[in-house]
Amino acid sequence: MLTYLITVTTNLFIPAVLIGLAFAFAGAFLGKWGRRILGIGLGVGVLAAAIRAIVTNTTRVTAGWKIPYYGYWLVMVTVAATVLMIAVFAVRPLRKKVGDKGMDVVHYVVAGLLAAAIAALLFCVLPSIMAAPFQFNLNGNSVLSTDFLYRLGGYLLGLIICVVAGFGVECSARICADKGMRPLVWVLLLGALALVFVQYFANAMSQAIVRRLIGFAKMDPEARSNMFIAVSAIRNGASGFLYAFAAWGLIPSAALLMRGFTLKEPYETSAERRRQKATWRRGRRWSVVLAACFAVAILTCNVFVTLNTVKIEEAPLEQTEIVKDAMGNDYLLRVPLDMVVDGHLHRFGYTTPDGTVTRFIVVLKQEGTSNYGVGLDACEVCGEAGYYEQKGQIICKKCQVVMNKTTIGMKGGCNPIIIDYDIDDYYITVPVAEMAKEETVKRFKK
Amino acid sequence: MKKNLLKVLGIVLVVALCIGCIAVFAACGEKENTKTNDNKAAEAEDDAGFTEVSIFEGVQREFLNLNAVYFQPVDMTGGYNHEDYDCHLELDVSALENGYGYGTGDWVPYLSVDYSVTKKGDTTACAEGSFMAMAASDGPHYGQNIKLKGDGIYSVTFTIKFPDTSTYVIHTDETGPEKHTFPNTIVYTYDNWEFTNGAWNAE
Repeated sequence: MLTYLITVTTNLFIPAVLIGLAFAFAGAFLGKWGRRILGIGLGVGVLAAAIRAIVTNTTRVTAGWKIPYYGYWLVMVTVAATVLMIAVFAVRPLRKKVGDKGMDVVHYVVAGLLAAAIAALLFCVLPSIMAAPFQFNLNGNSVLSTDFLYRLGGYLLGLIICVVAGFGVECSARICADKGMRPLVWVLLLGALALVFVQYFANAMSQAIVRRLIGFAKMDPEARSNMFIAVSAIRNGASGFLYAFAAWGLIPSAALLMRGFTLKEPYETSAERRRQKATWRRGRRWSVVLAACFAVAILTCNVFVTLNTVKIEEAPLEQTEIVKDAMGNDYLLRVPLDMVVDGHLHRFGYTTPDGTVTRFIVVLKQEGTSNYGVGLDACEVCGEAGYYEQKGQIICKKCQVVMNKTTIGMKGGCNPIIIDYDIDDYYITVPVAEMAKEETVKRFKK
Repeated sequence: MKKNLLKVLGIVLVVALCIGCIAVFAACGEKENTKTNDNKAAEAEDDAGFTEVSIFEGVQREFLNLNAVYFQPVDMTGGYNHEDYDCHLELDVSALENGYGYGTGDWVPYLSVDYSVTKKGDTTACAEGSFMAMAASDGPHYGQNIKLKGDGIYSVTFTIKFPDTSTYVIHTDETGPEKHTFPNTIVYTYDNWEFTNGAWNAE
């Protein structure tokens, strides 16, 4: 569940916040047609992403077309053009020179560029999200299986968080604009576009450097290496962009809350007063919703990623009972059955006279039976690397092959090397001679 | 507030339905194999239907020609899946002119290939283990899904051991090849692997 929540949130959160800010900007500065043009851009982006997701996951037609790479450039170009247009026409003398009709044209152009930037951004990020459902049924289980439902749940939760965040930012920013804070919306959008530009610049450059495109093949290797390290640092800090967007997206809410305490709006009728109060109330509620969405998004980047990271937990070496012979020498290694009846992998060590620690494993093959797998904690292929347990499976530490528990005890391949042992109602018994023989010691000697 | 919430819920529902339809469409449909089944391994990257990013190529050691590439992590038989990994690292090992009976350019089987990957600036390896022999649409190779420490420059060391001639037996009479003893273990380190997640550019 967490995998898909993380995938969707980390990919879609930034575009959702940016789209929210863009729509609020369009409402404040570009008029009704501005929002409609942005809506068209949004639709085109979603449709193009859907086509790309379907085509690349069901055919090989687009293999080698470098679509993601060109997508990054498209985002950079459209974002840069939008920022330029917005920044240039913020200059009052220029606006006066262009005149009202000219500014109408400028508004359409800005709306078009912003729509193109949104479409390009969605074209880059949405396909991997849309393709994620193709991975839900990895093990061929039914669509009503727990695994499938958890994955779907995480996926939909991520979608909901991002869409709600986008709406929340749009609503808060629009209310800010209505309450006399239009310049704030302008600054927020420019800042968000600048962050996206930096992020996609790093994405495009890292791919261009690795694939030796746009002249990087001829660049001085040391300079190229330094540039690669710099863009890698930006890409490795991707969660920093998410935190920045979360903080950025909360600014309209914070501004609204502060403004609400100080602004004294005139009103003529009680209906008008009620409408004003309703607007502030709506702003405060969206602030709470936004804060919750952003908190989940931030948690996704650190806590959930940590929780979802698979850690290799090596079973500790356990002690066996050593039975001595009449001469006082080590004779048998005895493992009580109630120690290993839990179905988990158990590792046992024996220290030979020369100090080498030889190891064997015991695992109950099938619950409710007395069918145990016993062998060395080593195999013919990978040597003494040994095994660990993860999600109920026994895995080789060196080659990561997943063991079939039922084949433990069979010779060859990745199976643990067979050793002599005995089993009765209470103990599994391994002769010390088996663990101390030359062949075994040689395997484990460092 | 209610109107906005309803709007939001409506859009989420529509998006979820669209995605659900795409998923069902994909799950029900069969992936068409557009390649002809002619037993010849695809030679060009594009024929394989995915893009391999080269780490190094044309390194010659003893009678082996070594090329290392990486691309997206893959699902494989034997319980391997692509989740939890950053990339699929592979070493293509082909024979140069040799006296062991391998055809020039042929994949060399039965080798034991270990890998160790260390990020520049670190002292310990972030990924190490043994490659498995495996087959992809472009032919057999040695490879493994691995997890790294983000984008950056890595050093990768390959240790190639030849099979024991008691298990990989060589004819020693007139029917045998010219050479009967394999060379010593080959160790090769490439210390300028510029890894960027997603550089393979194909899904």
